[in-house]
Amino acid sequence: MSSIRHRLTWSMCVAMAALLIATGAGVFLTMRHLLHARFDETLIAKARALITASEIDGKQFEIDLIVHEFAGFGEGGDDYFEIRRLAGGVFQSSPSLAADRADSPGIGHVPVPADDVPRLFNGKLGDGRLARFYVSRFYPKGDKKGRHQDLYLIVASPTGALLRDLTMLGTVLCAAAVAALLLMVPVIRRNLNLGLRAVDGLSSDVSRLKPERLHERLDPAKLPVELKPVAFRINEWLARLEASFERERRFSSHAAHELRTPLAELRSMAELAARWPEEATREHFEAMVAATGELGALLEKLSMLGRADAGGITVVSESMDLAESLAQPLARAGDKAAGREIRIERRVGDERIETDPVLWMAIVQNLLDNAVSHSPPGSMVQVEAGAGLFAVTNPAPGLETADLDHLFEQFWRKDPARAGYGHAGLGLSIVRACAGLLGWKCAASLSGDHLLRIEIRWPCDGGFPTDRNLPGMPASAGIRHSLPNNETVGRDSHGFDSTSDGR
Amino acid sequence: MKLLLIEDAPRLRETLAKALARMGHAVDLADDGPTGNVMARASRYDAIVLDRMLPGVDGLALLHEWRADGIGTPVLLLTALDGVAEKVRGLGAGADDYLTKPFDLAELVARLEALVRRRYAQPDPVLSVGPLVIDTAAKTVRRNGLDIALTAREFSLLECLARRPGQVLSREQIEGRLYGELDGPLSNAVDSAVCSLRRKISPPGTLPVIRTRRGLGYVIDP
Repeated sequence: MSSIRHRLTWSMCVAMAALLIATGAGVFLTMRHLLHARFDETLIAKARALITASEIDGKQFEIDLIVHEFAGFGEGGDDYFEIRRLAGGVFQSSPSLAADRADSPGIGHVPVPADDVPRLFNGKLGDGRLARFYVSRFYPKGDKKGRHQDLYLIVASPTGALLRDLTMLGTVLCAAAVAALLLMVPVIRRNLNLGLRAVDGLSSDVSRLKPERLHERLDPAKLPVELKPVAFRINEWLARLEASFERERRFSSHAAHELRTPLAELRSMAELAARWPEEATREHFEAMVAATGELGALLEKLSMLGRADAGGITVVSESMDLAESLAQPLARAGDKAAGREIRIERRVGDERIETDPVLWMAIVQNLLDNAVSHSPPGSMVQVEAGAGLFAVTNPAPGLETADLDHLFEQFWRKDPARAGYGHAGLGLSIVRACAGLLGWKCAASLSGDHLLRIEIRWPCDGGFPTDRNLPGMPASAGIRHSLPNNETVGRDSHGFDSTSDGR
Repeated sequence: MKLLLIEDAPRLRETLAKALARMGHAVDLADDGPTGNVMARASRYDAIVLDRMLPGVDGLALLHEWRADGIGTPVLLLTALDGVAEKVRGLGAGADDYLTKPFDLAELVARLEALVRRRYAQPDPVLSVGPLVIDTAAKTVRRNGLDIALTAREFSLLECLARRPGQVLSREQIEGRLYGELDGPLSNAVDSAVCSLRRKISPPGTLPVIRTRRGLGYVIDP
């Protein structure tokens, strides 16, 4: 299983180990370089001291004995030199290489220098010990007659002690690295535990969230700044989920009411007539037919809404005369409005509209029916239709601004008791769904004097019309709730230009 | 039983009222919360059938209010909300029973009768009063093993008296339990019903079961 703690522990251990190894290697190589350089400097210094201390005095070649001892070339010393002739043969050698000594290592074979440039190289003494060699042509001072111009100097110094020091340094560094690594694991784990405590807490809080307790929220105050956005975002999603569940619950409850009540009526009426035949009057059966009709209409709406929401309706557009397409629905709405003494004022342009006739009729009929049914008796409904816009305005005295957020919800009704027959609260949901299928936008606004205006807009002349490019069209007023293809909720949300009536 | 039916769906309300009246129960009707509240406080009902979603005042709010005010009349919630959470809320608010729409009329009546039996501490639907054995669930009456055929109204009258053996019930009390507000019975309707019932349950030569307490009302001996 993937664990942040496990992965962090491993990655930090590997990183720290690599860092320690690199640091150790760096220290070791630097020290080795320094020690080798110092060793070479010493070797060169000894060679120069020898050269400086050598001279031809009379006919004799002499080397200052003090230099012998000081430089470690004396008997028992650990540094060696030989002065050889180019043609072969040893001219002079250090007391430490005395031929009569049993433990004399001897210099061994050293290549003859071809020029006057001094050279340093690694090699082995005659006894096999590793050593550093200095080789240079050698011209002793005072050789006025030039009898000693074919000499070269070999200085050798064993490197055993240097290698031991380097080995010791490497060992110490390795031991320190291993100890640090071993100590690092618990330290890293402890620090990770401290650092991840907030993550553990958040994980625990999130795991406690249950679908049935969506009202609960995480507390961002107790989280470190890195995790606060996570908590805020989870809380945001919880709020949306809660709202969604609440909407779902409202939908189920309203759907249950709208479907179960007429069913209960039908069943009770049928039982009454079956048990007491004298109750089976003409009026009784008419009431049953009315209940069946309402149930059928409701199911028809639900079916359309379901198909529209599921994208199960194929849009087949055709060109229609706007005024002609509105004539029949307006006439039907007029009949219904007359019964309630409601006047319909219409302002319809002579444009043509490219749309699906079935969806268009569903939008128009539901908007008109909604306006006529919910307007107070004696009031006026205004219908406007023009290029890219269809709007219905009606008085809605009981409606509040907050209701606009729910206006297009399925089964939403202002009356929580859902009293009365024939209105399930699906009309505007159907309008929204149909407009969505057509790629149109719909919006509702409520003016200060409680005039509800529902607008449908469609693309016209390359774009959605706005209030500015609708000459003669009054600016819709007040709070607006717009629903383009993707539902948005809020005041003056996208889809339309903001409008104002100076409220 | 004297029942109060608070339901805002007119067709359902009228149908239930007719059915319950046909079964011999007195039913008063209310079509919204405030009216139902007034009626529930003004009269003594054996049980109340209450819709959840009512105009004016929500059914649950009404129920809360009644229980807070000490009104203990059994309440059957009749509602379209069928979720477990809704049932829990309803029963938690003080409802005695919960029935979801659509429902069977017989089940509704049986549940109401069970509520009323519990209210009067008579869990057994069979009442034994003197020589009579009254099955309030099956709606049958037997005397010495022989069935007696009664109308719904007569049965309700007998049940009303039998549930309070030894207790004198005035004509007004009986009228209130047998007739709804809209029935408008004649002034001697109770006397006529008692007379008719007596003839059927006490044939000539047998001891009368229902006695008249002059000026007070009627009583059935235990």
